[in-house]
Amino acid sequence: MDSLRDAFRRLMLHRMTFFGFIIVVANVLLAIAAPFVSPNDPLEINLQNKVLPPSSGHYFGTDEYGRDIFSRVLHGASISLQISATSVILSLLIGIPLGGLSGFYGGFIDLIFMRMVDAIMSFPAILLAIGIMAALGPNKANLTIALGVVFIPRIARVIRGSVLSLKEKDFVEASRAIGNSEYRTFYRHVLPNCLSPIIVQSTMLFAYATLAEAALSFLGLGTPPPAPSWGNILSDGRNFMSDGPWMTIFPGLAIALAVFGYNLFGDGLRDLLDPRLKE
Amino acid sequence: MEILLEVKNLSTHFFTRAGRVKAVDDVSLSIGIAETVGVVGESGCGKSVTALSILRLIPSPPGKIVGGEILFEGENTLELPEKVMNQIRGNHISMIFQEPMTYLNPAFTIGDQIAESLIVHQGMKRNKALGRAIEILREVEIPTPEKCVYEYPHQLSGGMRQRAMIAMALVCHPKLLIADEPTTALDVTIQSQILNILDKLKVERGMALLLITHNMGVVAEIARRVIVMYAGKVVESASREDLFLRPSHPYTRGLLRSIPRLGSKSQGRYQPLQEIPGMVPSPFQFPSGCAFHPRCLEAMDICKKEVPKLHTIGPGWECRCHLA
Amino acid sequence: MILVSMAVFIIIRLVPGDPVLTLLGPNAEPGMIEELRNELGLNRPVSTQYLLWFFKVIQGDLGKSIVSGRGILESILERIPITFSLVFFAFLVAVVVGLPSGTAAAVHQNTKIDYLCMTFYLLGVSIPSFWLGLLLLLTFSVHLQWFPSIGFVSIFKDFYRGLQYLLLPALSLGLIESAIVGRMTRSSMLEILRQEYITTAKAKGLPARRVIWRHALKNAFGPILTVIGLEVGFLLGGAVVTETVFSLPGIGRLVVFSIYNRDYPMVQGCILFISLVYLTVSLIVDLLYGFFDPRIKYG
Repeated sequence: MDSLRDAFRRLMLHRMTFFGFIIVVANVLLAIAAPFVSPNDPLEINLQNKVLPPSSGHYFGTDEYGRDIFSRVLHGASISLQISATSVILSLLIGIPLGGLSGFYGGFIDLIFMRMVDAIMSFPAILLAIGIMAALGPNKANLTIALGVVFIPRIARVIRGSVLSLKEKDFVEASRAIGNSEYRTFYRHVLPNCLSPIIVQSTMLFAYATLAEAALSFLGLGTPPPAPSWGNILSDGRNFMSDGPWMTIFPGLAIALAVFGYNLFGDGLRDLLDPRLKE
Repeated sequence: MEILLEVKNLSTHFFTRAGRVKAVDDVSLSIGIAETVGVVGESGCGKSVTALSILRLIPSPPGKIVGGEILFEGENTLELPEKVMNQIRGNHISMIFQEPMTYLNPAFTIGDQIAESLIVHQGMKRNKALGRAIEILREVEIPTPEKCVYEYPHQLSGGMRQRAMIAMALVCHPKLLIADEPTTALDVTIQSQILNILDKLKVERGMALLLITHNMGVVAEIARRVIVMYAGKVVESASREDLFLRPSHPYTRGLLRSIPRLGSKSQGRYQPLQEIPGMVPSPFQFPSGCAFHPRCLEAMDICKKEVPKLHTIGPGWECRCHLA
Repeated sequence: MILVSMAVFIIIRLVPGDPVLTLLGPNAEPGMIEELRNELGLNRPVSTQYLLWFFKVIQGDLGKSIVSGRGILESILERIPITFSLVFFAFLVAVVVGLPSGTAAAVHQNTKIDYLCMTFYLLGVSIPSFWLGLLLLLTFSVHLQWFPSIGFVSIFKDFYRGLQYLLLPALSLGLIESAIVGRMTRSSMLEILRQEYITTAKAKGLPARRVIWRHALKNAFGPILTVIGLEVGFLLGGAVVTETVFSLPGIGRLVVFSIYNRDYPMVQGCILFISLVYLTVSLIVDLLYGFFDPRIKYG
């Protein structure tokens, strides 16, 4: 835990990472505040205001149904955050025990679990998500599940790697020597030391989830319209590229910015957390 | 004796975030044609950096040669363009390193790596170069050179790899070979084999050898002149006999005292190893005045304040000490 | 490897919900449902269905599309060249941009070149490829009218014109991918340039270019190959989206349309096919890995 506090301090000193952190925080805050902050109802249809360019009334312009794009983009942040958070949490809940126990106990369990992980990872991620969504039908819950499934093997592998390398260390033997059960050893001693790669990986997964949610929604396999997922807004905007390019520019910018923030932050976290801990 | 390489007042500093490190500070030495010179000192004293500086292999963002001259056959190599320098490296001056496993490229065969020097420096055709490679592998006493030429570094034993590295360095008949701790990573039995090979080849080719090591025993065996370094400076420079029989710098004396001597037990008395008290200073914080003063048994007041100059105390014999 | 493919098939099979109901809609009469079920063999236990399907697949018979009635394999095969050409060119773009930039960034670490590349990579990884595609369309097709936005001509029929249709999609997919390739190249090269044998090469008086291109790169092949393998996976996935954006009649778009139309066998067949391709490529990459790193061959 000390190392986390230490890392946090150093984070504040490292400019780029800090910048990423700001973006992430801004994204989260906007997402949470969307219902209170957005000037208009993102779902409100107003056919008199079709496809208007950006103005003081509509910062990002309007779409073909007269909906305010600015409000839609704000709520899109909220949707994207919801999906990302839930899918990452889901994958952590299943992936950590899976990978952790698999690495710790080894043997048969390890073999089976890892074969399953390999099987899932032998699909390109997007295709797997598409396939699952195709089967389950497009709605938010299924999206969470689909992304969760894609993420679980990745988390499991990271944890397993950490556990494997920590398993041989002396403090694990020491823990057993003082009479701790295997379970307790794992839970209280090995697991906490795996924290930093998990945190880094989770940040990256947030980035990926945001991109995936947008892509799937764009294809019509994600958050169902009329919900203002960024992907949906982009998809709507496709038919109006010459008349209303703002429909394409702004939501995409939002996606890029959010993902950029996660990546920047995640990269910085990785640089800060890992080598220091080794020292 | 004619001088082949002369290092004059060389200074190489490293500019790091933690400060400026004077790894090599005003170092001078000279090597005659076909002469063997040994450079000794503990880790961190700057001997390796000196060697790398001679070939201008100092990694340039943190490091920089900030002063001095290096005259090779009369020409100052520090002022040569990189292209010309490349013609010297591996060709007129070669270098071998401590750990042959990491210093040989794992992706190429031994033969390829040796032949490469010939191909690049002498424009030789590959087949001919490989033939030469086999010949020189034989000279360094590798048992089956025809096979070895097609093998990869990881397939050879430590001693073989070091021989291969020597072969690679000598294939273009350089006039000077710089050997940076060539035997440190090897078993004791192999060490003497390697040294013998080095000596033999040196004599056969009339080649000069600059041997860097922290092992006084090795130096005593094959060096004609010895240079002792401490904290980036030369502290004593003498012929082998003078140095070993009448060491004048306290550090040199300390080094010689700390060598375990066979036979002290047979005299009926156990003599404890006399170590030099204290530790080698960190390059970031060299002590003031004479860098050795905190560990010196004969330190005086002046040693703390003033950096001693290099005093000449005999023909070809210099010592950097206030006592001299 | 075979075990993996088995697992793959099982997962695909487990995936779909009840296709008949979705096909016929919620108002279908029970009688019709029964009939369709029989026809599609869905009333047999799942394992039987799987085995039947599996055998058919091995024989090359992927079945018929529920929607169009045409052979699934046919439809896939005729779209292969299109998807293939897209993936191929995107791959080219990724490698041509990624490898040299990554190498340059590593060699000139911490200089402007490096920072430029790093920024580019970070952006590339953050921008959705379909958005880039849309932007490219917006700028080049709509505003500047340099490239066509709709329609398609296969490069196998008319190379030059076909290229025009492929350029923007290949760029949108490839540039994003190049960020990943570039990053990996940079970090592998950094790692390698730090190695002692690079010092030896320099000590031999080899010109800098030779040191980088021969000594460093040969050792970089391993990790680069791994990236390339992963890349193909990403590209295949990304192709689905890109084909949709640019309305290219490839396998990717086929998958998406089949999903809209609840053409369940078609979806199954497509995903199976794509996964097979991916697995094959991975296999080839694994083999090549051994070829490039002599330590693996003997060690």
